[in-house]
Amino acid sequence: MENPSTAVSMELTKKEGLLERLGKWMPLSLSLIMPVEVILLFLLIVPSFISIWLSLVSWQPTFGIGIFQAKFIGLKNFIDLFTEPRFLWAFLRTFYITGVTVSLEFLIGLGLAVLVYKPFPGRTFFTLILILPMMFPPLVVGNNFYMLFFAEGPINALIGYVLGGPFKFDWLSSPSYAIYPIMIAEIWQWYPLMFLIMISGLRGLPPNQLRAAEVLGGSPWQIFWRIKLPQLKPIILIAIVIRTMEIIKMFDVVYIMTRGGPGTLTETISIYMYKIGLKNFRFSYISAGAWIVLIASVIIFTYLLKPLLYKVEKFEEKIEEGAEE
Amino acid sequence: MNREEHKKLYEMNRRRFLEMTGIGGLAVLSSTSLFGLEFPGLAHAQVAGKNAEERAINGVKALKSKMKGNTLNIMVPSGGEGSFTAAKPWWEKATGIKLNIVVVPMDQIVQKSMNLAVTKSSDFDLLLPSPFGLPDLIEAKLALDLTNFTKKHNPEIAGPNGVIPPIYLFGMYKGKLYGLVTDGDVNSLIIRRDWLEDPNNQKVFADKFGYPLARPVLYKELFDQMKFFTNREKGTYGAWIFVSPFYAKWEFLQLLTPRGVLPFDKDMHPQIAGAEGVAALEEIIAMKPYLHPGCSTGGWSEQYKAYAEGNIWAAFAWPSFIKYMNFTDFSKIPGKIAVCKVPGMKLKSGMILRPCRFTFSWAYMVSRYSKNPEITYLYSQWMWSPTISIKHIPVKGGYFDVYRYSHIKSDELLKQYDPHIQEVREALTFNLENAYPELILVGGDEYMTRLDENVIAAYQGLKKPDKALKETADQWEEITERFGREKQKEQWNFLTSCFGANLRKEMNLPNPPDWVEKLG
Repeated sequence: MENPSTAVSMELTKKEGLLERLGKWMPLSLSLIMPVEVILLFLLIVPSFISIWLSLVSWQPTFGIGIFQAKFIGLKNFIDLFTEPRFLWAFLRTFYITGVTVSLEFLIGLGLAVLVYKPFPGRTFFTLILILPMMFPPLVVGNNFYMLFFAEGPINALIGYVLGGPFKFDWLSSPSYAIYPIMIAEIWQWYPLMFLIMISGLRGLPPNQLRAAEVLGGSPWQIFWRIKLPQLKPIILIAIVIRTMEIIKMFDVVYIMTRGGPGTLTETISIYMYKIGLKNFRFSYISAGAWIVLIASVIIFTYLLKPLLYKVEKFEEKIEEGAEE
Repeated sequence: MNREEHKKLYEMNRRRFLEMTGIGGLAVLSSTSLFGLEFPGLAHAQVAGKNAEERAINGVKALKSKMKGNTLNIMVPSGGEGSFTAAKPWWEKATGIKLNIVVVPMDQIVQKSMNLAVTKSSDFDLLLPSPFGLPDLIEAKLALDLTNFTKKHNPEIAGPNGVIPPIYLFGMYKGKLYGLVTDGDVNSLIIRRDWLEDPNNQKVFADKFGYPLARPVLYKELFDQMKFFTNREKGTYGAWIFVSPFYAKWEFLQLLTPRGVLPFDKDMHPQIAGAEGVAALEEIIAMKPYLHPGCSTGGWSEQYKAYAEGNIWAAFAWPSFIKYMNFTDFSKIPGKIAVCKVPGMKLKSGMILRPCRFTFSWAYMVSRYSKNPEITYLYSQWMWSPTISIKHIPVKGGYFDVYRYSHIKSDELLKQYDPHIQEVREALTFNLENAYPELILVGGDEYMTRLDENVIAAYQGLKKPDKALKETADQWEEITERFGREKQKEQWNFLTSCFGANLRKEMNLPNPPDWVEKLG
């Protein structure tokens, strides 16, 4: 007959073995963050899968059926979008606005950073004023610029004063010019972000090289163009990527100022998706649109970040070679 | 059988008498208790009460013991909460049931309601979408059919204090009632009384146009007046006619409908791209030189502010506009406006058709997922009742406007709009009785948005009017096919019965269901 104490001790040994094996497989640090990771994955993965499903079916809440009872239509939503002029124009328009505003924000931000880089009386106060626009909610900025560019607003009053007669041009309903007040509002609100990034970059440059260049007789322009700007390239790239990611999503300013009008002439991707998805409840159609925008954005950002990633790879390789030696 | 056997079988004795009485008594008791049960499809006797308010309170008292929880959650549009917060203590005192009033932006209430439909949430018992959003919420299985509750509790839809027809019809879908329309958002014509009565204006106008300056009966007269009063150098304008996003579609339909043309035919094929539609759009474009510069970008609040400056002749506006123009802390022209019946157009028959647009508005809608649907309905009946609504409509901070005959009859209520009470009464009654609905269809917002975008594109010179309307018609066909033509036809053909009685007669449209009138 088996000795009970031996059997119990074998049972205990067996349990300890399992726990030990689990502990070896999953370190304590990983097990501590696992619950949060599972929740986050659930919040990311499950909606993504639902979104993919929605993009492949024809479903609206007004059909009165559940999401998973919807008719499977394959890539029809994607094909319809690629042949929908309104979507394509919204897509192109968004990237046009992005290109123009990011470029101008960068130039203004860099210019102001260079101006403010060297100390002068009142620099702190001046810097504070410069970054104020970024503190306002986008909705407030949109509303303020809407009122500024209203037909009877202060912009027209100022122009009228300069011209010496009444000027009542309807900026926000002009097919040719409505997009420009929107860009001006965006540039006004977000140049401070570029300014802050650039000034941080300038202050992080190695001072010895700059002093050496001064001593050797380099002009301010030569120092800027030949030394500062090349060393700022990674910072500039990051700033452009950050700002581009944000502008692609722009909504508040456009909605308040023009609602995508006149007609659909200032419609960005976000406005289009809002109107079609949330006002017309075409969730399937918009899910497909969202995936198209995501894929396009990933391609663009990968291309933009490629020089930076290449540099990082090369830097890491050098470190490894140095370590081996 | 012999006598003894017969006696046993048929003769009444004390025992038998008691047996029979007991059985009969039980039968009576059990049959009366059956009235407390709900049998689907069984006609209900109306709840007792001398009016809609009393019937609502009595109904709540009868149901309160079965209520789940003690609070009703209500979603209301921003700007309208004043009426609900004012009425809240009256309701809570009368019933003991608490109210949780949640305010959402008014242009998002349909979207937020749709979220509840998708998630099948019971977070809200009562919602107030606009009537044009009702079909989407009905098809998404959020809106509860209120027809049986209405028949049981009688909210005084018809009768001397009833809702002015056809307004209540805008809360119906395919003949069933889903929403109690609680805001008389008819767009009256407002003109400047002082400019109208100015003898110099009258003389010069008559000399120029060959007929007297008066409240316009025809749109042609209004257009002549707009030309007359426009002087851009002096900064005076003929009218504020909306040609801005979200609003332009209404102006187009306002000029199409008096031509006797409906947006769709019986088979849901668009009729907007025909000769009448193109003429209507060309008229809007032709108005450009006489419109206030803000018309192409401004919404209702810009319209109110601009008109209050005192340099515009005419506008089509909601009833609240009348109040605002008489607020001395807002308007430079208090007491100087005239509220008019909308003008119309002469048909080939010689009749003048004067349809009045009824836009936006709000309707009490009970959520299908409410844990207390009948009590929620009774709250909306109580708020909608003649006796309660007449108290909360004038409250500051609310923006519901008159919609019952009892409201229109009240001098006290109309005085809050304009001192010229009789004029306001006649104009509002006429305009309400000649109202026509928006496109209250599934996807109604989609149809209207496509029209809006193309009307603005034509107005801005980006498309020719016929091309703009042809594109709209094509887009409308695509929307109809996506939702199902037969389903859309059913509602559209019902909707044509929701026009004002005069309009139905002139345009040969069907009559609406008569069960409402039979309620009394």
